[in-house]
Amino acid sequence: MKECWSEGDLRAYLDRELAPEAMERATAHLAECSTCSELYETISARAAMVSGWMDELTPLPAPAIAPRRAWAGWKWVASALAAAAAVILAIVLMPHRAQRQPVRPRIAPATAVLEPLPVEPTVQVAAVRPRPVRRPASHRPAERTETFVALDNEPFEAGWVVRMALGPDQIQADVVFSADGRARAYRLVGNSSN
Amino acid sequence: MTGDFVIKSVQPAEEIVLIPAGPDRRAGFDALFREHYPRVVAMLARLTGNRAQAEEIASDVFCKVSQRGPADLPWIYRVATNAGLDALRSNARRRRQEEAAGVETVRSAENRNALEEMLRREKRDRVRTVLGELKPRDAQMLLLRAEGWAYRELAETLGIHPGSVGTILARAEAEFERKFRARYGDDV
Repeated sequence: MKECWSEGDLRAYLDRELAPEAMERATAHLAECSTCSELYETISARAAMVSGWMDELTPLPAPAIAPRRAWAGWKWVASALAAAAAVILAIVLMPHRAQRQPVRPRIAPATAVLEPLPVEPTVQVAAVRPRPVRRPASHRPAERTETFVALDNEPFEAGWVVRMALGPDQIQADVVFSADGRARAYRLVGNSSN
Repeated sequence: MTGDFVIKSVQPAEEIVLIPAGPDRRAGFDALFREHYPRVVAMLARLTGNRAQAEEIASDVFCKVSQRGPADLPWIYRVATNAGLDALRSNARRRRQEEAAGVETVRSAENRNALEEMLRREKRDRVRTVLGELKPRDAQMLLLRAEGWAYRELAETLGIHPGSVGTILARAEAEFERKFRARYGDDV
């Protein structure tokens, strides 16, 4: 008599989940081995019984629409990171203000450029849905669109928006800082750039 | 406009939420969500018998996935099953309290339909009770198999070798039967 089959293999045999060649060998073996065929009977009876019990838990129809709620998690991340960024900003900026010294934004030189970038950046700033980033027209009046211009192409997930008056002309702008304190995107606010 | 900017005033404007621009991660999560959210809900609905509760648990799990970064399937299903089993136990506790307080509504044994429904519900409760006593992986295995999952899918989702599915399934069924009989006798 050939080697007997394990309980797991016989369970897979019951579900026809063995490879075709193994299915044939198992069938042949069960025909000649009483030990394995008894075990197989036990396994199939138990599987049928458990299956009957499980069928009592009537499956419900699949949902037609997956809810959007799963995205709510981003808000928590944003809140936590934004709070951290705000604390860092406050610590960095407040002493300078007290001394009435000109304060440079704590950003890398390249990120302070407010000219439109030659290449359209890919960072999308959107709380609800992605939207292509548009370059702001400086003459455009203040608007509360969610359109920012990214200062680099590095993706980031959450940030803190700080409204600032920049330069001698005191241009109003919202600047997005990521959690590491770097300025990552901006939008001009109002019509004060003329 | 470069250089020498002076910050004249600083005030927090608003909090924003950014969707990561990295196409891979976003697309990966979307695909994962589309394929597995309905499956997790179906599994949990079968387990708890409550669609709304199942969706709530599944949403929480996928929330965690989105925060956690690249997620592995075994983690998702393990967390979902554990949460489902917790819900199952607290549901049972609440039901017992309600019954003790006389909230039970189906009392009319004269009504044949009501009696049948009561018996069916008792049977369902028994199955859920025993599932709740199993190890989470065994409960997962039985639930997903009852959903008609193939061995290959089960192996991938539970993080086990495909050759082990038969063994784990057979043991889970044996354990289910043993616990059922231990609790409710031979009245199956």
